[in-house]
Amino acid sequence: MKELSIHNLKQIDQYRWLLPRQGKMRTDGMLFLDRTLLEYIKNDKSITQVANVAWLPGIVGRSLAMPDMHQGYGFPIGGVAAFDPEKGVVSPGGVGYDINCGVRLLRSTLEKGEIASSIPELVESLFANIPTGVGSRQRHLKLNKQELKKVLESGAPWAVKKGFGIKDDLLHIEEGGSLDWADPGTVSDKALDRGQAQLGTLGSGNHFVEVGFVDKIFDRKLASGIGLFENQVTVIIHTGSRGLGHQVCGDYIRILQNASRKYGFDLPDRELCCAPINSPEGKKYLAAMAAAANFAFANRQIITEEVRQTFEQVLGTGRKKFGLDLVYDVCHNIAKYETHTVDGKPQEVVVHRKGATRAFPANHPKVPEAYRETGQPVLIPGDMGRYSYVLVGTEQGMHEAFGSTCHGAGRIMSRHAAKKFAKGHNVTAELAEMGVRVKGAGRATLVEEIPQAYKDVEDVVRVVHEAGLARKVARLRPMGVIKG
Amino acid sequence: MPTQFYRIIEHPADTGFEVKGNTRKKLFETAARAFFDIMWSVEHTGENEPYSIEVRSGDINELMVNFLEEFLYLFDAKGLVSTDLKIESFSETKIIAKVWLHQFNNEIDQELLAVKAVTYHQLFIGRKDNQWVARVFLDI
Repeated sequence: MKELSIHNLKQIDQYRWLLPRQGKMRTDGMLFLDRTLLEYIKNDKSITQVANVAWLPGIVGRSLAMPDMHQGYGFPIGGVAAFDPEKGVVSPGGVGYDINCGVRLLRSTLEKGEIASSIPELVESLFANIPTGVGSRQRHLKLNKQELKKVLESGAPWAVKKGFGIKDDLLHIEEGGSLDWADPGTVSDKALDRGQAQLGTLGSGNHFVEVGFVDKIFDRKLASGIGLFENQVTVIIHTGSRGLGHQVCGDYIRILQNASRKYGFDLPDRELCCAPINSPEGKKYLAAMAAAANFAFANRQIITEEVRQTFEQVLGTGRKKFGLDLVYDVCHNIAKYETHTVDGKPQEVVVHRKGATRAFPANHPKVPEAYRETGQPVLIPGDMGRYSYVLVGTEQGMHEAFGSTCHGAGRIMSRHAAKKFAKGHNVTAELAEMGVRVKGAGRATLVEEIPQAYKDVEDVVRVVHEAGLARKVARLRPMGVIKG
Repeated sequence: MPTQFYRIIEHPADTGFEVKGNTRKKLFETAARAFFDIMWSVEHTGENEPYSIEVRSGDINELMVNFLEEFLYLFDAKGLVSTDLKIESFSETKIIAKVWLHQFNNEIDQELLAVKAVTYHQLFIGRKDNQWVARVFLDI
């Protein structure tokens, strides 16, 4: 496939750009962007990557890209595509290395004024209690491989059974925090080795725990429906499947490269290696991916309990006094069996979301009882200095994007450029001036993750809202952040 | 070895690097050293026993990915930072090497870049200006 550019796009309306089928593409591409966001991708390869995805066998509907799209490996980040379980393929390049990287939001019963003076201590204690940084290890949770396999089989329910959180939490996690087609037997020893000491750890890069508050409500009825009110203290947890997921992805890229040759797929990019969903290789990848996804669900569940314990410790009160109930937990790197309406009929498909979030509408059977009237809550984190958004899924998103929306802001500066930009700046002090107390495992991560290195998440969220893919409910501002 | 024995290739979402070598064996050794330099800054502890690794693959591109992934595995699974290496046997599909390892110490050592994986994205191994050249992108 030759390199494609913005000149290959046909503008449909203010927020929709069609990439017409050409070359070996089996279907059209559709990009949800405005002109501002289009500028950011004009020099990367993400448009070609949307076309490459459209090339894959058995694709159902269009190859989609969310407004935070940028160049990824295989699929673009922000890429969404569905495949027919009988004729279609599954690709690790459509999920990514950090399998089930995701975000969860907790809501407290407290208002920001009630904890403002405790933020420094909360940040210090969260940092002390939650292992962070590259290669961070859990000191208190020793798992043998047999127990680790139970985690991979079960996911968040394993964590709850072990005392990390409560049963009610499970009702507020995508898929109940457990993909039941997981098979730990498909996960390599190397992956198990990498995961063994990393359950209950945050990791590094853009992963974080953030204590914040609701600073703006866009829709009172929806906000009240998901239990949010102005000035309410919230906590966001962003992490994934750690080294275990990275290894699973790497292992299956190797296996599926051979499978691609075996099944005679002519692929435009090695990172798009794939196998028929129904083939032994495809089934094995999906089973291993689900196992890694379950690890990530359990990871966020354990960290949730660590957050609640830290609040107890710092505020000196029982959790009934501060709440911290789970609002919702969403995956943004995943492939899942879902039922969608295709050509007017319900059809089971395998939806790949790579840096994209599921956003199901009100009354959908997969949306928990508590949110049947509002639609599924969606959490879109921004950079550590500005704000994050809470949205809900819509019927239109279901119809146009397999019930998907964006996942974050997206970088605009390379890590090296961020370091250069931050030279002579005291990042911690500058964030403190913005009202955000930050503690990171290393200065390097803090510098690479400066707010200026990211797009304004508001620009991304505006597009999904205006295009109707999801609906804005509330905006959250950070007060304290721990980073890996 | 001079400090600029590799070139960083920049992109907002990626970090890549380029290395050169007169032979493919040298190219792979330099790629590994670049990888160590990008990932860690460690206080050298002096003499330590080398560890033997063997990496196999279907072709030379896969060999590069599997080879560098091995160092990532040693760090992630065992907390061991690779400080130096010597390739003892090299073919397009197999490497046997000695690696000098150091137990990462949170108090003294620094993690410079959180690498999740070595990717095939725009991976290049080939001849350019009478030299072997490799370009590798890392998922961060």
